[in-house]
Amino acid sequence: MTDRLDDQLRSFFRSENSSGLPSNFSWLVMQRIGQERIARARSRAQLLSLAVSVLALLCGIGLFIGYKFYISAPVPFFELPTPAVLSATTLFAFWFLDTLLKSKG
Amino acid sequence: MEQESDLINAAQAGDPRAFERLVIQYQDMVARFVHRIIPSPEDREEVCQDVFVKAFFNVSKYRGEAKLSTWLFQIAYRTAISFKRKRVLSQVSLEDYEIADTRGDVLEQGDVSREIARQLGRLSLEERSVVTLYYMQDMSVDDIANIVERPAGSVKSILHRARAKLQERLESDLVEAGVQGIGL
Repeated sequence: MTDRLDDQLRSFFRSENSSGLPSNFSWLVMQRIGQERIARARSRAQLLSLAVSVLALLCGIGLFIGYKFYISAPVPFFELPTPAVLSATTLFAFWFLDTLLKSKG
Repeated sequence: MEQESDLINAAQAGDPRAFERLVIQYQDMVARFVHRIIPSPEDREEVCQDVFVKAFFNVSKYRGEAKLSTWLFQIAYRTAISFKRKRVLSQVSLEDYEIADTRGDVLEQGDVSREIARQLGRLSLEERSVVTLYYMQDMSVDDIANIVERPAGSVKSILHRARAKLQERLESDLVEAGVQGIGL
């Protein structure tokens, strides 16, 4: 009895030969993938630009604090407030990396 | 003709043409499976597109431990289930199934096929998925267990339960309708 049901079900699924998808389905999928790639690249770029903006703002604040501190009482670099030292070091590191990469082409 | 493994390797390396060839190769199979979970043709097409878009962005994670079809069915199952949850369609109505099937080619197969389609629509999503994979794809219980993320023993029991339901309902409905010769 169950074998008969198995046969019926197999033949039922075998008889379904139409998927119901449009003939240009693969093209549509590739279009969607293209759009998705652009959207992902855009959101990555937005995230990166946000991170750079935040870093620039923090560095600006740090340098401003250092400048104010130095104007009121000149001290050696490493005796400046920590945010100022960190900002200046970060900027120097970026400049150094940029120069190094440029020199290597 | 290129081997499937070559196409997979090329797709993993980011070749969109190779991936498109894989889409062409598997689209009908995936669509027939999704049809059993999402009867509406528009929704089905959307879900099928989602399946292949997800596959494209995750193809680098495919390690070849299971067959590509099993991996795609796993994505299709998850995508279709989450689509259904989003749409808050906890149960596909029989009307949906009847409408979908009268549009397709099933109606031409006669009363028995129509009745099978109707009764499949009355099974739970999990039962329907397991039955579809088992009978449509001739998949092993282990592969199905991998797709529906259940132990093999549970899959066997789901399959057994679904078969019993189908048999009981088909017998009673077809006898009522006076269809002869099914002989279940």
